[in-house]
Formats: sequence, C-alpha cells, structure tokens
Amino acid sequence: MNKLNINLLPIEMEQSKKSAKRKALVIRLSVIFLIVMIGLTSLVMVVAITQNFALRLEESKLKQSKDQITAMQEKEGLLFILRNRLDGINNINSRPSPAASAYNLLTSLVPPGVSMLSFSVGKNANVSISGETSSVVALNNFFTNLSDPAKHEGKIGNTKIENLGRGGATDRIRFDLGVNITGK
Amino acid sequence: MNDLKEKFSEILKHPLLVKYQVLILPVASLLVCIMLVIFIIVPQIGAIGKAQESIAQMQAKNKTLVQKISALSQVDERVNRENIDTLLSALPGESDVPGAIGQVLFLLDQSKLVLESISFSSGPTGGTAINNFQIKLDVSGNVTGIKAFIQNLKKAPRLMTIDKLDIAGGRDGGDMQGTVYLLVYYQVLPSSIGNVEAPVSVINDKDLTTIAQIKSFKAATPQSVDTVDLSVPRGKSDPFQ
Repeated sequence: MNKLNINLLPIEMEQSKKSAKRKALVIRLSVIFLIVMIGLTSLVMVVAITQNFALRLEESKLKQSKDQITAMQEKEGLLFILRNRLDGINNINSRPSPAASAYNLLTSLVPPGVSMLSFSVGKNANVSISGETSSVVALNNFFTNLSDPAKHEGKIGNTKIENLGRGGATDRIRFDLGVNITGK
Repeated sequence: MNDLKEKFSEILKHPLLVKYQVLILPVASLLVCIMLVIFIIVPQIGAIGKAQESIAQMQAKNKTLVQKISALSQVDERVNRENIDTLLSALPGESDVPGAIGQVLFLLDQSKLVLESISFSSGPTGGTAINNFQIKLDVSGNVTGIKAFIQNLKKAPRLMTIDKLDIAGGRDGGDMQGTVYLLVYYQVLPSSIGNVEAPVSVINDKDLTTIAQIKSFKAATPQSVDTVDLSVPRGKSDPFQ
C-alpha cells in the first residue's frame, strides 16, 4: 500500500524557503566574486610593486656603469682621438694623387731615344708633355705605348697631338702632346 | 548614538530597501569590481608592460656599457699616448708650417734636388674637417731627383701629396727646372668625445699596421727637421753693452 504524503504547511512557507535559498546563493556568489577580484587586484599590485623595484634596480646599475665610464673618460678620449686621426689618415691615403701617378706613368712609357723637355700636370690629371727625339722609331714606340691599353694598363683616356714637327738647329722631331689620365 | 541606531533601523525598514534588499550586495560588489578593474587593474597592467619594456631596454644598454667598461679597462694609456704622438706627426692638429717645410727640405736633400724658392699659403682654421695648405717649391736638379722626390714623399711622416707638377728640361736624363705644388694636410683635434653611451672606438690590426708604418717613417726622419732652422743672425745678448 503506497504511503500518502499530505503537506499541511502553507504554500507561502515553501516559497519563502526557496526565496531565502536563492538570496543566500546570490549573496555567497557576490562575496566570492568580490573576494576573487580583490585577490586579483592585490596580485596585480604586488607584481607592479615588484616591477617597480626591479626598474629602480636596473636604473641604479645603469647609473653605476655610466659613472664607471665617466671615471675612465681619459682612456676613452685617447681611443677617440686615435680613431679620429686614423680615419683622417685613411681618408687622405685613399684619395688619388693624379699628379704623382701621371708623372710616374708617363715617364715609364717614354722609351729610350725620346727626351721629355717639359711636363705639366694639374689636379684634373690632364698632362701636357713636350719632348723631342731624333728617331722616328722611338717616337712611334712612344705613341704606341700611349695608345696601347696593355702598356698603360688602361690609365690613359686619350692622347692628343697638339704639335708635331721637325726643325731647329738639331733637326730633331719636336712634339707637344695632351694626355688625359683616367682615374683607374 | 541611540538616535543614529533608530534612524538606521528606520532606513533598513524602508519599503524599497526591503523589496530590493537581495540585489544590494550583488550590485555593490559588481560596482566595486568594475571600479577595481577600471582604476587599478587595467592601468597597472599597462604600467607593468611598460616597466618590463624599460627593464629590458636598460638591461641591453647596461650590457653594452659593461662591455665598454671591459674594453676601456684594457686600454694601455702609455702606448696609446705614444700612438697619438705618432699619428699627430702625420696629421697634426694645426698647420705646423715650419715642421712641414722642415720635412720638405729634408726630402729635397734626400732626392738630390736644389731648392730655388719656397712659398706657402695659409690654410683654413677651425672646424674638424681635414684641411690643407699649399707649399710651392721651385727646384732644379736631375730628372731622377723628381722621381726620387715623389717616391720619398710617400715615406714622409707628414701627410703630403703633389697637387701640381711642372717640369722643364731634363733632356736625356739631364738637369731640369721644376715647380712642385704640395698639399700638406692637418685636422683640428675634436673638442668633445661624445656621450657616455657612445660605443668605444675600436683599433684593429690594419690600424696598428698604419701606426707602425708612420712610426718607421718618423724614425727615418731626423728629429731636427721638425722645426726649421731659420739661421737668423744672432746678435749680442745685451744690446746696450
């Protein structure tokens, strides 16, 4: 035989019990949520304070290093001046010296039998040469040397014969040349 | 105090409060959480991120500075001062015309050229760029002398280059007259070495070779050519005697 359950308590009591349970749950959840947020905030604050401390420490180390370097300023100055002079010297040594190069080149191309009477070279490496020879063969050799890239290693751009003639008391061949030296 | 208690009790019995009392705590805690997030958590997280970046940057900077300190502590001051003296003989901080003329005279003598006349122009002063002044030489001698002069110029301790060259004569390797225009270089010394964080200047093996070369050129040049002997006639030490 099934038991018969008769609830004689009024419905309002049941409802108020449920309502009270709901209220308690809401309050509990609110408190838990608040505690968690406060905990999170505290954690963030602790991390921030720790980072701040680490930042101050790094700043102090950096200042210490800078002070040490300032104390060695004299040594740094010596190295700085050494570097400054070396850079200047290397800069000057790397600049071409067209006048000296042109003189050395052209005197090496003058064959025996040809005399150079005057030589003039300026900053732009344009050379004016005057010379004389008694031998047509020697003169030809000279002109060949001036025009053959294998002889002058490509350092002569072009050669202009400004004057060529035979005459004078010695009946030697006189020539005036303009030679353009390239930057190679 | 009792009045306050009574007032508080009356407030608690307010019908609105009684009706919505279940919502008060959740709403209040939600508001508090929102305030915590907006005013504390978010700004602090931003600050933590920036602080971490700053710490990383400072650590990197400090590492560079520590390397610089290590490099500087190994610097031999005496050796470096000697090297600077050597380099200043090649590229001095001022024009030092007498010193340059002295070296040129030595070179002419070495090359067996006779000096007919000498003149010089003054160069610019100031600035830290490389400056130069010109020395004009009228010389006579053998053609081989000019070649020797050009070669010997490369071995002079002072940096000089030939700007222009005019030669006449020298037929069949004989005597000639020539005008040589030399450029003599100098560079004003820097007035400051830059800031603490600038990287340390490095001297490599190639630089040491350059220094050794200039030192050898300097050793081959007599010390007395550093200043020109003007051969000024000497008078009485006391002109009133």
